[in-house]
Amino acid sequence: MIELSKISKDYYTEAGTVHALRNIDVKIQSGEFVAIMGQSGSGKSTMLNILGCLDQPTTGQYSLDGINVGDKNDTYRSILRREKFGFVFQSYNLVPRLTAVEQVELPLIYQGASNKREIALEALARLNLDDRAHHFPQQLSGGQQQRVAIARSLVVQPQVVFADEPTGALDTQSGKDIMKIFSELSDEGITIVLITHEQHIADQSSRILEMSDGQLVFDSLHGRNSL
Amino acid sequence: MTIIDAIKIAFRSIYANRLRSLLTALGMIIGVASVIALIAIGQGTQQGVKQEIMGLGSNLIFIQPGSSTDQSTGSKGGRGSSTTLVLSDVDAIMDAEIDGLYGASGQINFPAQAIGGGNNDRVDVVAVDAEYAYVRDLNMEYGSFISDNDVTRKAMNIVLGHAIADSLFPTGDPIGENVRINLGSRFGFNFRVIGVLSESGGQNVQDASVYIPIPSLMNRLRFLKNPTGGTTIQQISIKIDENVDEVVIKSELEDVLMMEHAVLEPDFIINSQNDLVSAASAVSKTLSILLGSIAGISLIVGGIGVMNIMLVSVTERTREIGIRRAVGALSKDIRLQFISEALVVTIGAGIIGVIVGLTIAIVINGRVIAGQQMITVIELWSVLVAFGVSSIVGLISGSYPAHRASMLDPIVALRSD
Ligand SMILES: Nc1ncnc2c1ncn2[C@@H]1O[C@H](COP(=O)(O)OP(=O)(O)OP(=O)(O)O)[C@@H](O)[C@H]1O
Ligand SMILES: [Mg+2]
Repeated sequence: MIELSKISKDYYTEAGTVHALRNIDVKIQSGEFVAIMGQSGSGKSTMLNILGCLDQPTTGQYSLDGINVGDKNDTYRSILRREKFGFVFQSYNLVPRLTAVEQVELPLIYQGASNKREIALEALARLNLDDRAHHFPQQLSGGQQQRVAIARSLVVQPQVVFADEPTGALDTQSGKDIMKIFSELSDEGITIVLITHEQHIADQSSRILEMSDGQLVFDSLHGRNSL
Repeated sequence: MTIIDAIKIAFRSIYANRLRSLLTALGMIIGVASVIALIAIGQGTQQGVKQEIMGLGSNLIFIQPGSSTDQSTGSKGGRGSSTTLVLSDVDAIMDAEIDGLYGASGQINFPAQAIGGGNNDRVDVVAVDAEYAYVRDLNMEYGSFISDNDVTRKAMNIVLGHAIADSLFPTGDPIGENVRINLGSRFGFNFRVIGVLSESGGQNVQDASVYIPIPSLMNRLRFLKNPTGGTTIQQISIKIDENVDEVVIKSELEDVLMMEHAVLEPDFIINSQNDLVSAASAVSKTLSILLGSIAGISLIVGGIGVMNIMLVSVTERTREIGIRRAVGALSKDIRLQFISEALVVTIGAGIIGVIVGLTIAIVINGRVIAGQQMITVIELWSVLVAFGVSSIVGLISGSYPAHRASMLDPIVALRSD
């Protein structure tokens, strides 16, 4: 279970301080499928990155399964990402010059797994990419690249998958395919936190959070403006 | 992440940038190859000189005239330029009955042209006394060496070095044949061959020398006459017992000759074979160090090139680093990846450099380059040093870029383009 309390994130720039997040309090239970919505610049990505231990808050507490992650060092957070989290980004974030199966092997390399190739091919097969295993990113369509990225996030059997506008760069059909995969993952009990701009996508989740100007302004669990 | 995974990743990215990697490695390859080749040349020179000196015979002491001082100008001539050493000094040394001194022999050397058997060759004429063969451990292939009788009779007899005998009389035993020794175009003297030395092997000058009795040309060549009436000689060779301290013998010799010459300061120079070896070694050791340092500098320059490319690589691959961090790479995994890459480049360059350096050393060995015969001696330590230094250079030049890569904030790296 994830619990954020009084999380704030400030960016200090030459133009002044940006309060990207202000006093966020939220709890996410395992198995939830959470969609985060909000205008551009409202702080969605910032919050997702903090949830995924890619970024650290300026102030506030983050506890994961009762452990205060804020106290932990970089190595601990890296191991959390490696063992428990998966990430899917709008821009796919595949490593150039690695084939699809090598992309999926990446987390396994850092885990020190022994039968990497086998596990990676299984993960690709699950996303119907068997025939694209040895293709490079530039030889794949956007939807296929995103499926490779999802396979990479799933290969370590994560507890939580964080997705930042995973369908943002895709056409409607590919977007639908991707969302179908997320629904299936959710059905399997994997916690999903997903950012989207589109209501019909958010509707497939079990809970919608809405952000505005760094604050959480709506949580479907509690009803409008109940925060 | 295991080391093997890190090395695999390193090979992948080196292969992806093969031209750039090769150019980067080239600096190191040249550095390593030149360290090995130049040290081999330095060591070869050192060993050649040492062999030449040791090949003169065993346990020798050499006495040469001291540098002469011109009375009017006070300017000093070079070593051996004075005429202070005379043939009678040899007798004085023998008469002194120094302990452990086996024999002494005087000599004069001059270059000449030898004609015989219808052939001719350039030779080094060594005018000697009968003791010479014993003192210098010369062995005969045919006939005999110059005898006391030859010296007394001022006989026009000659003994040929092995190479000279081969070049003048390639068909065989030249005993009894005539050899004409020409000094410039004005002087020519006929000698009868009485002996041929056996081959000395190695780099020894004795193969290319001919030997005549010291008084044979004395009256005929003015430059051999000393104002005092004695015969000026250029060197006295002395054979000593190897178990006797050469320092003691040298000081006794000095006393004898100073008395003989009636001087208070030596007007001659005494060197043992060991003195010559160590002087020569010191020179070629300095040469080796000099060559080695020049090569070492090119290794450092190569290392700077590697560091430069690694920094570029880290910058270019910031986003990749971010992706790797996002999927769980630890900071130290990233460091390992980039250090491995630098090490694979430099160790690869080290291996190629060692192969190139060894090949150069082997190919030039024994060849004449710019009029000099090159001798190379490959030293294991030079290979180890070149290899070790290139690995250390790799480690150092990879460390800083790898550290920078590992310290990147995952989220900052992911957002970069
Ligand atoms: N590194 C940074 N330095 C300064 N300001 C930043 C930085 N990253 C984000 N911000 C600011 O923080 C705020 C929140 O950014 P964030 O990326 O979380 O928005 P978002 O809700 O994901 O927007 P979008 O829907 O456009 O992706 C924005 O105002 C942005 O300008
Ligand atoms: Mg965003």
